[in-house]
Amino acid sequence: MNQKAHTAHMPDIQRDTARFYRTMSAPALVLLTFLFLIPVGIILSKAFITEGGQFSTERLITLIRDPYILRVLRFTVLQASVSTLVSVLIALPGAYLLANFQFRGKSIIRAICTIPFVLPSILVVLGFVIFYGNQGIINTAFVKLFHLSEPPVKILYSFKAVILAHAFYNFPIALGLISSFWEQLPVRYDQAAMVMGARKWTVFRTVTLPRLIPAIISAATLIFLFCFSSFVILLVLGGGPQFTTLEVEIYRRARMTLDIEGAAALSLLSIGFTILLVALHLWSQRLLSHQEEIEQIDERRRGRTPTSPLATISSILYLVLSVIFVLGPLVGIVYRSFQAPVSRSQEMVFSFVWYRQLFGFDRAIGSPLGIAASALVTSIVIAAIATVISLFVGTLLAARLRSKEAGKGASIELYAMLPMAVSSVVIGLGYYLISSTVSHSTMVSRTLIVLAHTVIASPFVLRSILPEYRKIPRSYTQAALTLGATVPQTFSSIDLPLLRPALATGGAFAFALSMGEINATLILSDSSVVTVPIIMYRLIGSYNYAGACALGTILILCCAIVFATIERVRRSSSHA
Amino acid sequence: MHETSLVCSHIRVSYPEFTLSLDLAVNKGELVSIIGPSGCGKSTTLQLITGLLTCDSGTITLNGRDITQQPVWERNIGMVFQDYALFPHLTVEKNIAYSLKLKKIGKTEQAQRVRQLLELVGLQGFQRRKIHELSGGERQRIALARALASEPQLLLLDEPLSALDAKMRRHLRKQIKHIHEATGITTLYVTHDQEEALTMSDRVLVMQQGVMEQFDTPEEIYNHPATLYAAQFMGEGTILPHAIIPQTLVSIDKGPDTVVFRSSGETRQIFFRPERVIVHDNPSLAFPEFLPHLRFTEASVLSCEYQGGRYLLTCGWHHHHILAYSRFKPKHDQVTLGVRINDLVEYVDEAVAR
Amino acid sequence: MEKHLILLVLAVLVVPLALSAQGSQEKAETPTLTVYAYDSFVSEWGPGPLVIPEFEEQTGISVNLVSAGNGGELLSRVELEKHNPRADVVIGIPHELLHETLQSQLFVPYKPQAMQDIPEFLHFDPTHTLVPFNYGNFAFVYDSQQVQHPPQSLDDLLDPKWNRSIILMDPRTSSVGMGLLEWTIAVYGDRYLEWWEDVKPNVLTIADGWSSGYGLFTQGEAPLVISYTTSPVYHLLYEESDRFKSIVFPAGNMAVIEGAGIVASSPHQEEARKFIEYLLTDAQRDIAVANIMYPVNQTTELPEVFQAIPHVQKNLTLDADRINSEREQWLREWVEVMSR
Repeated sequence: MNQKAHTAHMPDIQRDTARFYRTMSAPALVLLTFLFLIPVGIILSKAFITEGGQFSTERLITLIRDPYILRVLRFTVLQASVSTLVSVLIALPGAYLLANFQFRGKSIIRAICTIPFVLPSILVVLGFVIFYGNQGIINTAFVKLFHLSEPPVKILYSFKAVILAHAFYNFPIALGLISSFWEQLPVRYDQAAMVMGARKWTVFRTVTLPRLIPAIISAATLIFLFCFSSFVILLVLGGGPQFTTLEVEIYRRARMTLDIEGAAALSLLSIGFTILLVALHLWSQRLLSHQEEIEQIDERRRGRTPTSPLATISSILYLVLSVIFVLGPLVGIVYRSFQAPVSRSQEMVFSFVWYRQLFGFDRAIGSPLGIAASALVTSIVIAAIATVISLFVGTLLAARLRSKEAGKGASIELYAMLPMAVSSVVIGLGYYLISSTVSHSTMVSRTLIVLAHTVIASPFVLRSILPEYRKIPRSYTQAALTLGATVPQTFSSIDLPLLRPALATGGAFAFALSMGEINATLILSDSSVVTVPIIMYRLIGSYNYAGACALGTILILCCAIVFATIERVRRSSSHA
Repeated sequence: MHETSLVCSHIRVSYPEFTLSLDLAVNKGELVSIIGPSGCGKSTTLQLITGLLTCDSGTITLNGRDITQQPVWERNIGMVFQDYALFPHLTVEKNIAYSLKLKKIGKTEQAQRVRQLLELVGLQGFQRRKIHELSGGERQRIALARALASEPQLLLLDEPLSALDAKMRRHLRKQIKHIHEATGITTLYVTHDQEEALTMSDRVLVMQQGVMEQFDTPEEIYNHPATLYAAQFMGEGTILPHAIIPQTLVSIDKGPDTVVFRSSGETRQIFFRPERVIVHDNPSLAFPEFLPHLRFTEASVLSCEYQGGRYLLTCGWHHHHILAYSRFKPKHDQVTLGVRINDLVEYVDEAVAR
Repeated sequence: MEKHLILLVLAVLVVPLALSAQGSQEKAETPTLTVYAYDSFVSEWGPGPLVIPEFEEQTGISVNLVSAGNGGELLSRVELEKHNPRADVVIGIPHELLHETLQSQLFVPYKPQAMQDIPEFLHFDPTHTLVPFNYGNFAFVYDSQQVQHPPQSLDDLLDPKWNRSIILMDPRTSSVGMGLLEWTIAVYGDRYLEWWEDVKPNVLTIADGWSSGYGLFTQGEAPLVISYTTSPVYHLLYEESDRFKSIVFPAGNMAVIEGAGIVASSPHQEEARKFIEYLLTDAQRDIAVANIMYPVNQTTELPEVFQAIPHVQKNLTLDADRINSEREQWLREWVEVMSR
């Protein structure tokens, strides 16, 4: 007997679940469309407009055929690839240590990981120079210690320096992503291999490494995208135009020669490449995501203290080296902030003068009092709100994508990752468009900035949460449903608590990105909203490097505290 | 008169591998096992009943109430999943009280109920424990306690013991049975272990490829399996082509024509259980004569497996294998086997000839 | 877990309120004049905070000063916004973008009274669509602690003794770098590329912008940097140090002139004109001191410290039309030579 009439009314838990997450994640997609896709799309469409205002692909074709451009593209890919490789390689031992061992200072290291993001690249460069430069800390130390005539460390202004700086900036990402993923891998596969006679290195090579690949690719793609659009670091530390990237050429057209159409065309070329990369990344994630589920907890690796002397020594060495590596430039900045020339003699002495100026205790170049304090508060508030919203957005998007069959969710994932694939110069142009269409009350400005920060941070949050989300077994949700929970209730009582560590990682990224963001903040608010990066930028622009360093130090301190707190959240929920 | 509790009527679901069709009624307080090989639709059946999957057509009624339209969270059906699905971020107490909390039951009442349930499953005092501290058997029982917390009208268990070792399985089997009797709750129990099905159930549902092969008491299924498939699933036995009957039939009182059989054909087969076979290994002694039976002479003993109290013999006879139980180990390589006609089940094309 | 959601929602609602309470230093509700300027003008350490309140008090016109990018960006922005124009006045378009500015037809000419107090060589726009309000000269700045005999010409810089001692900027990304490029063209004409080819071994790095480059310089990475003649003023004023000195070449230094213009579509033409006048008169001193550049108005009284800077004898400039037509080519050639 055919009861087809029934089907229309059948409760479909899968359909309901999908619908719930679709609705909840819709605002995110709307946000993305209006704050990013539409304005950037309009800018990019200019690539197809000729001088006379006609539509044509001529510009694009000429560009693709230009050997210079192709050379630049090749170099951009090359430096990004090498940087990525180096960053990941450096990060792997650290990830191993963080994932497998329990030792003090672990949370500090995790906290340090995201600090480089917070600083504007110009300060990073400065920090680098202060630390590694010819007159820098390291060289001066060596010269004094070993009575050398010449500074021994001469890496700056070369390809090596560029890679080094990129690694500084980026290896913490790899460290963070890979180590948290590694932590969750069950040990039984390793144990099985060892029982079969494999030694530690072989176990790593044949058993662990393949399972780490999703996390490695994830981190590698992020890092590659950063280095692809790297700009300041390349020119300053590279030494000259032989190290030109596409971003430089886009900047040139957009800002110097006022060839927006050219900038758009070049940007399209660049995007074509980065989208391919993002797609590749997403595909690999999908392929490898079926691997793990959150296993019985006792199978997760427990942190153990290193036993053999070799292990202890090498881990200490690695820690020290990496801390120096990461902290070095930061130390440089902090160091410079405390140095003031004594008048006349020009000797540098330890001094709080820059801090006093920033907080208004001393008068400085006609400045209003307490700028730094208010900028700091503004920055933190914006970052906090943007973090919360982007966690929300990222989690809901992840929830929606998690239940999708392979292939169907790919376009949404791509959509969400797009902001990372586009040059910030072009995004800035898009912001001009947005800015011109909205009224400029303070509420609107602030809202726009928070939303823009959310758009920028969401890809990172998504990247942090999605792999973890995919690991939650479906049976948990099903069990909760049978116990009487509605779909939203399963989300809040089961999914969210289990995602806490991932939310912590994603939240840290989002916070750092927001604190260090300058493009959107400057343009969308007409700078009526003043955040710390803007102040730093202005200090640097008015000769006051030490002041910028002082502000940078405060920023670092502030972020370190926030991250340490987040680390605490993360640890308390890892059922260790 | 048994009161029906769960009725699945004309349930049809199409899958790429098979079409699931269900038509069954479970009585109140019954424990029904669903048994079958992997992929036959057992777990799917449970998911359909809970509402986690939907049917193309049909209705599901629970205690007179049509629940086909109801969403999962309203059906109040307790389910224990294969991996237990205990929430790792909650303590034992919070896990068990999860459904109670959703129902907004007060804290003291929750605590009391949790205590009762822990007592029921024999894990008093476990409230504060973390899930990862529990052993497999303990988790299973906590999962059970959790499923029972909201006093559901139906309890579903999806291969709850498959992750445990044999001894634990037997022990927990008794426990589950005991809990079932104590609560009187209608229970559906999915397993691939026929021993479990036989020992625990009031009735057994044998499934294959989405089809209900047989739904009957364990004894009936064992002794009168509806299909060859059911026969083989629920214990060991011997399958022989129908054609051997004329070759081996022995009738002491009258001729072979007094025994009536259905018309023979190539698709017909007969089946009998090993315990129904008489093993006679001493040719010098007379074969115990009894009612019309099939006598297999000069069967050679291929293997003899000790099963603790009896031997399972695999005997070869004219290119067939016959399984038989024997109290004693055969002294000779050749034995004579006998099977009573009444102990045969006939099958046409795998289904029982009626 | 629902209480978390509630907290979340509350947080999201409450904090914007907190934020709006924060912004107590708001301007008047409906500003009459919107002025786009480059960021360092708007900066807390720039002329903006000094000049604007004065103007508002003097004229009663309230001003919304907006940071809208640097140099070419200002023009781009006005161009992109032309369907919803907001700016009334734009400050900070460099003289080399005159051609583009005129072409855009977004500005309206106005010749303020004060033009008579401005020397001829600063009148880079005969149509007065852009009027100069600030100028300076590029110059090489050196560290007197490391350098006793500074170079006196572009040729001097080619001397091998300056090996890896000069910090420059990329003309594709820095207006200072572009300025130096134009300088070499003004001096060497078509043979400018030879100079660049020869100076390569003496260059430590070609930074992305003046900020980075000068930062490296003050950090001691190299004793020479391309900057402005007025750079030492900062160190004298705020660090009481004369360690860093600028070099005026007898052959001349490249001039950089910043212009301001009134947006054609502005409904506040009257107010805009007042602003321009103000910019070229009362505001001149504050602008010069805050920007550490020279005022265009010769009658401006500068603080003494400006006297310590060597005064430029010869101001070099290039024709704006020529810049517009040949810039692409120059940049291409330059990149090619420097990438080798």
